[in-house]
Amino acid sequence: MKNLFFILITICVIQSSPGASYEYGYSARSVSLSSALVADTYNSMQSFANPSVLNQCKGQNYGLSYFMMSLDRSLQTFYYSRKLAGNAGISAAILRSSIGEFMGKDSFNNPTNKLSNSDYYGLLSFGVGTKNGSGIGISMKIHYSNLYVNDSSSQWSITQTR
Amino acid sequence: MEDRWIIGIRSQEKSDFDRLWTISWNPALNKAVPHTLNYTDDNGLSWSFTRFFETIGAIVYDLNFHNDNVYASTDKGLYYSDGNNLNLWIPYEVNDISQTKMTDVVYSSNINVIDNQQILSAGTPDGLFYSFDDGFTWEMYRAWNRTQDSENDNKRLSAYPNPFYVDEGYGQVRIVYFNSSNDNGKLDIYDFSMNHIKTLKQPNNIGNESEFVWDGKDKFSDDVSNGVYLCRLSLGNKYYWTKLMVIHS
Repeated sequence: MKNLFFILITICVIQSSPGASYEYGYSARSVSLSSALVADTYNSMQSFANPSVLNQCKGQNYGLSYFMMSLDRSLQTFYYSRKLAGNAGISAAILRSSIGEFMGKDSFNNPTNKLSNSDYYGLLSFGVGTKNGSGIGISMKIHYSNLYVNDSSSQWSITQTR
Repeated sequence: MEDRWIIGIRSQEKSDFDRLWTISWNPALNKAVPHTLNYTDDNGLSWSFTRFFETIGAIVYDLNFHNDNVYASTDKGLYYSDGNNLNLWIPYEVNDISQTKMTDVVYSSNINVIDNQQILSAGTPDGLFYSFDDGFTWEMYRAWNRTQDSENDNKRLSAYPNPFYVDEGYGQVRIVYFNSSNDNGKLDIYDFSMNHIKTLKQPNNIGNESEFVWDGKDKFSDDVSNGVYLCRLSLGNKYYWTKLMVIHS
Protein backbone atom coordinates (compact mmCIF):
# COMPACT_ATOMS: atom_id res chain seq x y z
CA MET A 1 0.00 0.00 0.00
CA LYS A 2 2.82 2.35 0.89
CA ASN A 3 4.59 1.51 -2.35
CA LEU A 4 1.42 2.16 -4.33
CA PHE A 5 1.08 5.56 -2.67
CA PHE A 6 4.65 6.39 -3.61
CA ILE A 7 4.08 5.33 -7.22
CA LEU A 8 0.93 7.44 -7.52
CA ILE A 9 2.78 10.50 -6.28
CA THR A 10 5.58 9.84 -8.73
CA ILE A 11 3.18 9.52 -11.66
CA CYS A 12 1.57 12.85 -10.77
CA VAL A 13 4.96 14.52 -10.77
CA ILE A 14 5.96 13.01 -14.12
CA GLN A 15 2.73 14.01 -15.82
CA SER A 16 3.06 17.70 -15.07
CA SER A 17 4.61 18.84 -18.34
CA PRO A 18 4.05 22.56 -18.81
CA GLY A 19 6.11 22.98 -21.97
CA ALA A 20 8.43 21.35 -24.46
CA SER A 21 11.49 23.25 -23.27
CA TYR A 22 10.89 21.95 -19.74
CA GLU A 23 11.22 18.41 -20.98
CA TYR A 24 14.69 18.80 -22.42
CA GLY A 25 16.54 18.54 -19.14
CA TYR A 26 17.78 20.79 -16.39
CA SER A 27 21.34 19.69 -15.68
CA ALA A 28 24.12 17.73 -17.30
CA ARG A 29 23.14 14.79 -15.13
CA SER A 30 19.49 14.88 -16.16
CA VAL A 31 20.32 15.24 -19.85
CA SER A 32 22.76 12.36 -19.74
CA LEU A 33 20.17 10.20 -17.99
CA SER A 34 17.28 11.36 -20.21
CA SER A 35 15.63 13.00 -17.19
CA ALA A 36 15.11 9.60 -15.56
CA LEU A 37 15.80 10.99 -12.12
CA VAL A 38 12.56 10.37 -10.25
CA ALA A 39 14.21 7.84 -7.99
CA ASP A 40 17.63 9.48 -8.02
CA THR A 41 19.28 9.61 -4.62
CA TYR A 42 21.87 12.13 -5.72
CA ASN A 43 20.63 15.10 -3.73
CA SER A 44 20.45 17.78 -6.36
CA MET A 45 17.67 19.32 -8.39
CA GLN A 46 14.97 17.15 -6.87
CA SER A 47 12.32 19.81 -7.35
CA PHE A 48 12.44 19.25 -11.11
CA ALA A 49 12.06 15.49 -10.86
CA ASN A 50 10.55 14.38 -7.57
CA PRO A 51 10.00 16.70 -4.59
CA SER A 52 9.00 13.79 -2.39
CA VAL A 53 12.69 12.93 -1.92
CA LEU A 54 13.59 16.41 -0.68
CA ASN A 55 13.66 15.09 2.86
CA GLN A 56 16.79 13.16 1.91
CA CYS A 57 18.90 16.21 1.05
CA LYS A 58 21.76 17.07 3.34
CA GLY A 59 22.65 20.62 4.40
CA GLN A 60 22.41 23.19 1.66
CA ASN A 61 22.74 22.44 -2.06
CA TYR A 62 23.24 24.74 -5.01
CA GLY A 63 23.10 23.94 -8.68
CA LEU A 64 23.77 25.98 -11.80
CA SER A 65 23.56 24.77 -15.38
CA TYR A 66 23.99 26.45 -18.71
CA PHE A 67 23.39 24.84 -22.06
CA MET A 68 24.19 26.31 -25.44
CA MET A 69 22.55 24.22 -28.09
CA SER A 70 22.24 24.10 -31.83
CA LEU A 71 19.74 26.25 -33.70
CA ASP A 72 20.25 29.18 -31.31
CA ARG A 73 18.66 27.39 -28.38
CA SER A 74 19.87 27.86 -24.86
CA LEU A 75 18.79 26.65 -21.43
CA GLN A 76 19.81 27.80 -17.97
CA THR A 77 18.85 26.55 -14.52
CA PHE A 78 19.49 27.62 -10.98
CA TYR A 79 18.67 25.40 -8.03
CA TYR A 80 18.80 25.69 -4.27
CA SER A 81 17.68 23.19 -1.62
CA ARG A 82 18.22 22.72 2.06
CA LYS A 83 17.38 20.36 4.82
CA LEU A 84 14.70 21.50 7.24
CA ALA A 85 14.20 20.60 10.84
CA GLY A 86 12.67 17.18 11.25
CA ASN A 87 12.56 14.91 8.26
CA ALA A 88 11.84 17.56 5.61
CA GLY A 89 13.45 19.59 2.86
CA ILE A 90 12.66 22.63 0.74
CA SER A 91 13.94 23.84 -2.62
CA ALA A 92 13.58 26.68 -5.08
CA ALA A 93 14.55 26.50 -8.73
CA ILE A 94 14.45 28.58 -11.89
CA LEU A 95 14.68 27.25 -15.42
CA ARG A 96 14.97 29.53 -18.40
CA SER A 97 14.92 28.35 -21.99
CA SER A 98 15.24 30.58 -25.00
CA ILE A 99 15.53 30.42 -28.72
CA GLY A 100 17.38 33.04 -30.67
CA GLU A 101 16.24 35.63 -33.11
CA PHE A 102 14.59 34.71 -36.33
CA MET A 103 12.76 36.75 -38.93
CA GLY A 104 9.00 37.24 -38.69
CA LYS A 105 6.94 37.21 -41.87
CA ASP A 106 3.59 38.69 -42.77
CA SER A 107 0.89 36.98 -44.83
CA PHE A 108 2.74 37.82 -48.06
CA ASN A 109 6.12 36.50 -46.92
CA ASN A 110 7.47 39.99 -46.36
CA PRO A 111 9.98 40.30 -43.50
CA THR A 112 8.57 42.05 -40.43
CA ASN A 113 10.35 41.99 -37.06
CA LYS A 114 13.03 39.88 -35.47
CA LEU A 115 11.34 37.39 -33.15
CA SER A 116 12.60 35.44 -30.20
CA ASN A 117 11.21 33.33 -27.42
CA SER A 118 11.99 32.83 -23.75
CA ASP A 119 10.28 30.53 -21.27
CA TYR A 120 10.75 30.90 -17.54
CA TYR A 121 9.77 28.24 -15.01
CA GLY A 122 9.88 28.94 -11.29
CA LEU A 123 9.55 26.01 -8.88
CA LEU A 124 9.05 25.98 -5.15
CA SER A 125 9.03 22.52 -3.62
CA PHE A 126 8.62 20.97 -0.22
CA GLY A 127 9.07 17.38 0.81
CA VAL A 128 8.64 15.50 4.04
CA GLY A 129 9.50 11.94 4.93
CA THR A 130 8.23 9.47 7.46
CA LYS A 131 10.13 7.18 9.77
CA ASN A 132 9.43 4.16 7.62
CA GLY A 133 11.18 5.68 4.62
CA SER A 134 8.29 6.84 2.44
CA GLY A 135 7.94 10.49 1.52
CA ILE A 136 5.50 13.02 0.16
CA GLY A 137 6.30 16.16 -1.71
CA ILE A 138 4.57 19.13 -3.24
CA SER A 139 5.89 21.33 -6.00
CA MET A 140 4.41 24.55 -7.34
CA LYS A 141 5.43 25.69 -10.81
CA ILE A 142 5.02 29.13 -12.32
CA HIS A 143 5.47 29.42 -16.05
CA TYR A 144 6.06 32.69 -17.86
CA SER A 145 6.48 32.68 -21.60
CA ASN A 146 7.65 35.68 -23.53
CA LEU A 147 6.66 34.52 -26.96
CA TYR A 148 6.93 37.62 -29.06
CA VAL A 149 9.29 40.40 -28.20
CA ASN A 150 7.72 43.27 -30.10
CA ASP A 151 4.15 42.32 -29.32
CA SER A 152 4.94 41.58 -25.65
CA SER A 153 2.58 38.66 -25.87
CA SER A 154 3.11 36.60 -22.78
CA GLN A 155 1.52 33.84 -20.78
CA TRP A 156 1.44 32.82 -17.16
CA SER A 157 0.44 29.49 -15.81
CA ILE A 158 0.63 27.87 -12.42
CA THR A 159 0.86 24.15 -12.00
CA GLN A 160 0.59 22.43 -8.68
CA THR A 161 1.59 18.83 -8.25
CA ARG A 162 1.46 16.55 -5.30
CA MET B 1 -36.17 43.90 -36.63
CA GLU B 2 -36.32 44.20 -32.84
CA ASP B 3 -33.23 45.84 -31.34
CA ARG B 4 -30.84 44.64 -33.96
CA TRP B 5 -28.16 46.62 -35.67
CA ILE B 6 -28.17 46.62 -39.45
CA ILE B 7 -24.62 46.00 -40.60
CA GLY B 8 -25.25 45.31 -44.29
CA ILE B 9 -27.86 46.11 -46.95
CA ARG B 10 -28.04 44.41 -50.33
CA SER B 11 -30.59 44.60 -53.14
CA GLN B 12 -31.55 41.56 -55.20
CA GLU B 13 -33.16 41.83 -58.61
CA LYS B 14 -35.24 38.70 -58.86
CA SER B 15 -36.96 37.58 -62.03
CA ASP B 16 -40.37 38.86 -60.99
CA PHE B 17 -39.71 41.38 -58.20
CA ASP B 18 -36.97 43.08 -56.23
CA ARG B 19 -35.96 41.96 -52.76
CA LEU B 20 -34.10 44.04 -50.18
CA TRP B 21 -31.81 42.17 -47.79
CA THR B 22 -30.25 43.23 -44.53
CA ILE B 23 -27.64 41.54 -42.37
CA SER B 24 -28.50 42.24 -38.76
CA TRP B 25 -26.73 41.69 -35.46
CA ASN B 26 -27.99 41.68 -31.92
CA PRO B 27 -25.65 43.98 -29.94
CA ALA B 28 -27.00 42.61 -26.66
CA LEU B 29 -24.99 39.47 -27.32
CA ASN B 30 -21.84 41.60 -27.20
CA LYS B 31 -20.12 39.43 -29.74
CA ALA B 32 -20.03 39.12 -33.49
CA VAL B 33 -22.25 36.05 -33.78
CA PRO B 34 -24.83 35.11 -34.68
CA HIS B 35 -26.07 37.08 -37.64
CA THR B 36 -29.59 37.08 -39.01
CA LEU B 37 -30.68 37.72 -42.57
CA ASN B 38 -33.81 39.82 -42.98
CA TYR B 39 -35.53 40.55 -46.25
CA THR B 40 -38.51 42.48 -47.56
CA ASP B 41 -40.40 42.13 -50.84
CA ASP B 42 -42.68 45.16 -50.36
CA ASN B 43 -40.26 48.04 -49.83
CA GLY B 44 -40.02 47.54 -46.10
CA LEU B 45 -43.70 47.31 -45.16
CA SER B 46 -43.17 43.81 -43.87
CA TRP B 47 -40.02 41.85 -43.09
CA SER B 48 -39.19 38.20 -43.00
CA PHE B 49 -36.05 36.58 -41.74
CA THR B 50 -34.01 33.42 -41.80
CA ARG B 51 -32.26 32.29 -38.65
CA PHE B 52 -30.21 29.65 -40.43
CA PHE B 53 -26.92 31.44 -39.77
CA GLU B 54 -27.84 31.98 -36.15
CA THR B 55 -28.35 28.26 -35.90
CA ILE B 56 -24.86 27.47 -37.16
CA GLY B 57 -23.32 30.46 -35.33
CA ALA B 58 -21.93 32.08 -38.45
CA ILE B 59 -20.84 35.63 -39.11
CA VAL B 60 -22.28 36.70 -42.45
CA TYR B 61 -19.87 39.07 -44.18
CA ASP B 62 -21.63 39.62 -47.47
CA LEU B 63 -24.42 38.56 -49.79
CA ASN B 64 -24.27 38.08 -53.51
CA PHE B 65 -26.99 37.23 -56.02
CA HIS B 66 -27.29 35.58 -59.37
CA ASN B 67 -30.82 35.55 -60.75
CA ASP B 68 -32.90 34.12 -57.88
CA ASN B 69 -29.93 32.44 -56.23
CA VAL B 70 -28.41 33.84 -53.04
CA TYR B 71 -24.79 33.36 -51.93
CA ALA B 72 -23.85 34.12 -48.34
CA SER B 73 -20.17 34.62 -47.49
CA THR B 74 -19.52 33.67 -43.88
CA ASP B 75 -16.76 32.70 -41.51
CA LYS B 76 -18.03 29.15 -41.81
CA GLY B 77 -17.81 29.08 -45.57
CA LEU B 78 -19.81 29.99 -48.63
CA TYR B 79 -23.51 29.06 -48.59
CA TYR B 80 -25.99 28.89 -51.41
CA SER B 81 -29.78 29.11 -51.50
CA ASP B 82 -32.06 28.89 -54.51
CA GLY B 83 -34.08 31.77 -53.09
CA ASN B 84 -37.28 29.76 -52.61
CA ASN B 85 -36.62 27.98 -49.33
CA LEU B 86 -34.53 30.40 -47.32
CA ASN B 87 -34.21 28.01 -44.43
CA LEU B 88 -32.26 25.64 -46.64
CA TRP B 89 -28.69 26.72 -47.40
CA ILE B 90 -26.15 24.45 -49.03
CA PRO B 91 -22.49 24.87 -48.07
CA TYR B 92 -19.70 24.96 -50.62
CA GLU B 93 -16.49 23.20 -49.73
CA VAL B 94 -13.60 25.30 -50.95
CA ASN B 95 -11.35 22.40 -51.84
CA ASP B 96 -8.43 22.12 -54.18
CA ILE B 97 -8.19 19.57 -56.99
CA SER B 98 -7.29 16.82 -54.53
CA GLN B 99 -10.39 17.75 -52.48
CA THR B 100 -8.25 19.10 -49.65
CA LYS B 101 -10.11 21.76 -47.74
CA MET B 102 -8.43 25.09 -48.35
CA THR B 103 -10.37 27.55 -46.24
CA ASP B 104 -13.46 28.09 -44.16
CA VAL B 105 -13.60 31.85 -44.13
CA VAL B 106 -15.15 33.52 -47.16
CA TYR B 107 -15.45 37.30 -47.13
CA SER B 108 -17.18 37.84 -50.46
CA SER B 109 -18.32 36.05 -53.56
CA ASN B 110 -19.23 36.80 -57.12
CA ILE B 111 -20.72 35.15 -60.20
CA ASN B 112 -19.41 36.04 -63.64
CA VAL B 113 -20.54 34.63 -66.95
CA ILE B 114 -17.93 34.88 -69.70
CA ASP B 115 -18.55 33.21 -73.06
CA ASN B 116 -21.36 31.17 -71.53
CA GLN B 117 -18.91 29.94 -68.87
CA GLN B 118 -20.07 30.65 -65.33
CA ILE B 119 -17.28 31.52 -62.89
CA LEU B 120 -17.92 31.43 -59.17
CA SER B 121 -15.36 33.46 -57.22
CA ALA B 122 -14.75 33.58 -53.48
CA GLY B 123 -12.59 36.10 -51.65
CA THR B 124 -10.80 34.49 -48.68
CA PRO B 125 -7.95 35.41 -46.31
CA ASP B 126 -5.75 33.12 -48.38
CA GLY B 127 -6.47 34.68 -51.75
CA LEU B 128 -9.07 34.66 -54.50
CA PHE B 129 -10.57 31.27 -55.26
CA TYR B 130 -12.49 30.62 -58.46
CA SER B 131 -14.42 27.69 -59.80
CA PHE B 132 -15.63 26.80 -63.29
CA ASP B 133 -17.77 23.86 -62.15
CA ASP B 134 -20.09 25.56 -59.68
CA GLY B 135 -17.86 25.05 -56.68
CA PHE B 136 -16.87 21.41 -57.05
CA THR B 137 -13.21 22.19 -57.65
CA TRP B 138 -11.44 25.46 -57.02
CA GLU B 139 -8.31 27.16 -58.19
CA MET B 140 -6.86 30.23 -56.67
CA TYR B 141 -4.93 33.42 -57.20
CA ARG B 142 -2.61 34.23 -54.38
CA ALA B 143 0.14 36.81 -54.00
CA TRP B 144 3.31 36.32 -52.00
CA ASN B 145 6.85 37.56 -52.20
CA ARG B 146 9.84 35.39 -52.70
CA THR B 147 12.14 34.89 -49.77
CA GLN B 148 15.22 37.10 -49.87
CA ASP B 149 18.32 35.53 -51.39
CA SER B 150 20.35 36.00 -48.24
CA GLU B 151 18.14 33.80 -46.09
CA ASN B 152 18.94 30.21 -45.38
CA ASP B 153 21.48 29.39 -48.02
CA ASN B 154 20.32 29.27 -51.61
CA LYS B 155 17.06 27.52 -50.76
CA ARG B 156 15.58 30.56 -49.03
CA LEU B 157 13.52 28.38 -46.74
CA SER B 158 11.05 30.40 -44.71
CA ALA B 159 7.65 30.11 -43.07
CA TYR B 160 4.88 32.67 -43.37
CA PRO B 161 2.98 34.11 -41.67
CA ASN B 162 5.37 33.99 -38.73
CA PRO B 163 4.20 34.12 -35.94
CA PHE B 164 1.51 31.71 -36.99
CA TYR B 165 -1.74 32.59 -35.20
CA VAL B 166 -3.53 29.28 -35.46
CA ASP B 167 -7.00 30.57 -34.59
CA GLU B 168 -6.94 33.55 -36.92
CA GLY B 169 -7.19 33.93 -40.66
CA TYR B 170 -7.19 30.71 -42.61
CA GLY B 171 -5.40 28.69 -39.92
CA GLN B 172 -2.54 27.55 -42.11
CA VAL B 173 1.10 28.40 -42.38
CA ARG B 174 3.18 27.95 -45.52
CA ILE B 175 6.78 26.82 -45.51
CA VAL B 176 8.29 27.80 -48.84
CA TYR B 177 11.65 27.29 -50.48
CA PHE B 178 13.36 27.86 -53.79
CA ASN B 179 13.23 24.69 -55.83
CA SER B 180 14.01 25.24 -59.49
CA SER B 181 14.37 21.53 -60.20
CA ASN B 182 11.07 20.70 -58.44
CA ASP B 183 12.75 18.03 -56.31
CA ASN B 184 10.47 16.26 -53.87
CA GLY B 185 11.41 17.45 -50.41
CA LYS B 186 10.32 16.39 -46.96
CA LEU B 187 9.68 18.65 -44.02
CA ASP B 188 10.01 17.51 -40.40
CA ILE B 189 8.72 19.72 -37.60
CA TYR B 190 10.23 19.53 -34.10
CA ASP B 191 9.59 21.35 -30.83
CA PHE B 192 12.24 22.93 -28.61
CA SER B 193 13.26 19.59 -27.13
CA MET B 194 13.47 18.08 -30.61
CA ASN B 195 10.40 15.95 -30.10
CA HIS B 196 9.14 15.06 -33.53
CA ILE B 197 5.82 16.76 -34.21
CA LYS B 198 4.95 15.97 -37.79
CA THR B 199 6.32 15.11 -41.22
CA LEU B 200 5.02 16.84 -44.33
CA LYS B 201 5.65 15.34 -47.75
CA GLN B 202 4.85 16.09 -51.36
CA PRO B 203 5.04 19.87 -51.47
CA ASN B 204 3.07 21.99 -53.89
CA ASN B 205 5.33 23.14 -56.70
CA ILE B 206 4.62 26.66 -57.94
CA GLY B 207 7.05 27.83 -60.59
CA ASN B 208 10.53 27.76 -59.10
CA GLU B 209 9.21 27.48 -55.58
CA SER B 210 7.74 24.71 -53.49
CA GLU B 211 5.62 24.98 -50.38
CA PHE B 212 4.33 22.87 -47.56
CA VAL B 213 1.09 23.83 -45.83
CA TRP B 214 0.74 23.08 -42.12
CA ASP B 215 -2.40 23.48 -40.02
CA GLY B 216 -0.69 23.55 -36.63
CA LYS B 217 -1.58 19.97 -35.70
CA ASP B 218 0.73 17.17 -34.71
CA LYS B 219 0.82 13.63 -36.09
CA PHE B 220 -2.08 12.70 -33.82
CA SER B 221 -4.17 15.60 -35.23
CA ASP B 222 -3.99 17.44 -31.91
CA ASP B 223 -3.27 21.16 -31.75
CA VAL B 224 0.35 21.86 -30.88
CA SER B 225 1.21 24.05 -27.92
CA ASN B 226 2.34 27.63 -28.12
CA GLY B 227 6.03 28.01 -28.76
CA VAL B 228 8.76 28.00 -31.36
CA TYR B 229 8.98 25.02 -33.68
CA LEU B 230 11.95 23.98 -35.74
CA CYS B 231 11.31 22.99 -39.33
CA ARG B 232 13.85 20.84 -41.14
CA LEU B 233 13.70 20.55 -44.91
CA SER B 234 15.33 17.42 -46.32
CA LEU B 235 16.28 17.91 -49.93
CA GLY B 236 18.66 15.51 -51.56
CA ASN B 237 21.39 14.88 -49.02
CA LYS B 238 21.12 18.30 -47.43
CA TYR B 239 19.14 19.75 -44.55
CA TYR B 240 17.82 23.29 -44.21
CA TRP B 241 16.31 24.74 -41.07
CA THR B 242 13.89 27.51 -40.24
CA LYS B 243 11.97 28.49 -37.11
CA LEU B 244 8.29 29.05 -36.72
CA MET B 245 6.44 30.57 -33.79
CA VAL B 246 2.97 29.16 -33.10
CA ILE B 247 0.48 31.14 -31.05
CA HIS B 248 -3.05 30.23 -30.08
CA SER B 249 -5.20 33.30 -29.55
